[in-house]
Amino acid sequence: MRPLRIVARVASWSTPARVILAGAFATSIALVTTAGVYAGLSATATGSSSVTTGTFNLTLSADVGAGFSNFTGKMAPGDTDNVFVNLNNTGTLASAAGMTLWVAGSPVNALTNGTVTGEGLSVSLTQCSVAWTLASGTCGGTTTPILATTQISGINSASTPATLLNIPSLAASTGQVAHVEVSLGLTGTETSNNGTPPAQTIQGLSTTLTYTFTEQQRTPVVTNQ
Amino acid sequence: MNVSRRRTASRVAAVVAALLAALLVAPAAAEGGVLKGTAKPTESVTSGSWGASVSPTSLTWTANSSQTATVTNTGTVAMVQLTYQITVTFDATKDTPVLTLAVCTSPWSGGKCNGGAGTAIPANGSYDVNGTTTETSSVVPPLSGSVYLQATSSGSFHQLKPLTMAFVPEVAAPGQLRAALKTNQ
Repeated sequence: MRPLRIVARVASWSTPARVILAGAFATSIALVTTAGVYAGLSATATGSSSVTTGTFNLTLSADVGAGFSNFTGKMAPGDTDNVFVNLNNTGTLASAAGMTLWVAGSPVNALTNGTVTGEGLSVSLTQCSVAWTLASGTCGGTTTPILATTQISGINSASTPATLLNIPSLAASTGQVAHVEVSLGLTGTETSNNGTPPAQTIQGLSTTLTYTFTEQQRTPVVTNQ
Repeated sequence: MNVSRRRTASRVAAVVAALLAALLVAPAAAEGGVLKGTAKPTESVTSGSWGASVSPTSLTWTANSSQTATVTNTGTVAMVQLTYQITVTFDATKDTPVLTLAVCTSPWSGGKCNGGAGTAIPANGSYDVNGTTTETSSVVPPLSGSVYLQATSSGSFHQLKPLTMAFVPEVAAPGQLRAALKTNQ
């Protein structure tokens, strides 16, 4: 009885209403049909690709002697403290040629911040093709300058690093090592009068230097296979 | 009209959002594209000091005699040479004094330096005019130690104006300090 009432009601509707109802019905049928067809035609293809990321590590260790350590005496102008270290890429990715260095002092004072013009600590770096000889501080192979004497006040922040020269790429796979002499010096031209140093002085100061060597990985490789 | 404005505003917002997203993503992609390796060793260092003081800084005479002053090393770096600024004042219109200066590594005793005359500053020299002169001596106080000056006046003066001799010891780096050290460690 109920369907008959519905048909009777529809029959009593106006023409536009009948058109809308018919359109909705047709759309529903179309959607259901399309879904059925799609489900019937779906297909999947799978493939696999393995990838391993490389590692990139720069390490620093003693070449000969103690490596980086503390200068135990009182440094005077003209003094030089040499340490001999190995820079090594221990990762699995080769590095690009070149390297940067900046040196921070803590606490910051006239030894590293340039408040006394022309005075303060300076650093120079030289590479040897073989390990250095500690006693004499000489290189039995070929030396290559990689940083000329540079006032630390000019390279004392990450934004003002020195670009080291002639640093070859360090290929981790072959264990290539850079044997580097790091020479720390003190420049000073001060006169003390009756036991009193100048108002701006490098005398009697202490600081701990942090050397930051940075290298970059080799140029990224694009492989088509 | 309102619908049109809303559409325009939506478009502007979408463009701004896209630009911001591009700005944020671009640097991150650039930095993330290359690995960096760093090594950060440390090294501590202390600078030395250099200098010498004298006490008293000035000697005064009203009659001929010998007087002494002590020069003490106040630094932590050994010196090999010392410069004295020496200022002599007297009444040049009436007096004609002559001063001699010598240094000894031991305190003067009875006007003698270990039984001798000490080391003259300058060698075989004397001071007989008003003014300041600069003299250098290689007899220097060791670290935490002293050397001893003796100034002796002779000649004539009238005590109307005292005869004085003032000293300012100076130590200049690096020339007057020990030889530079080279340490390999």
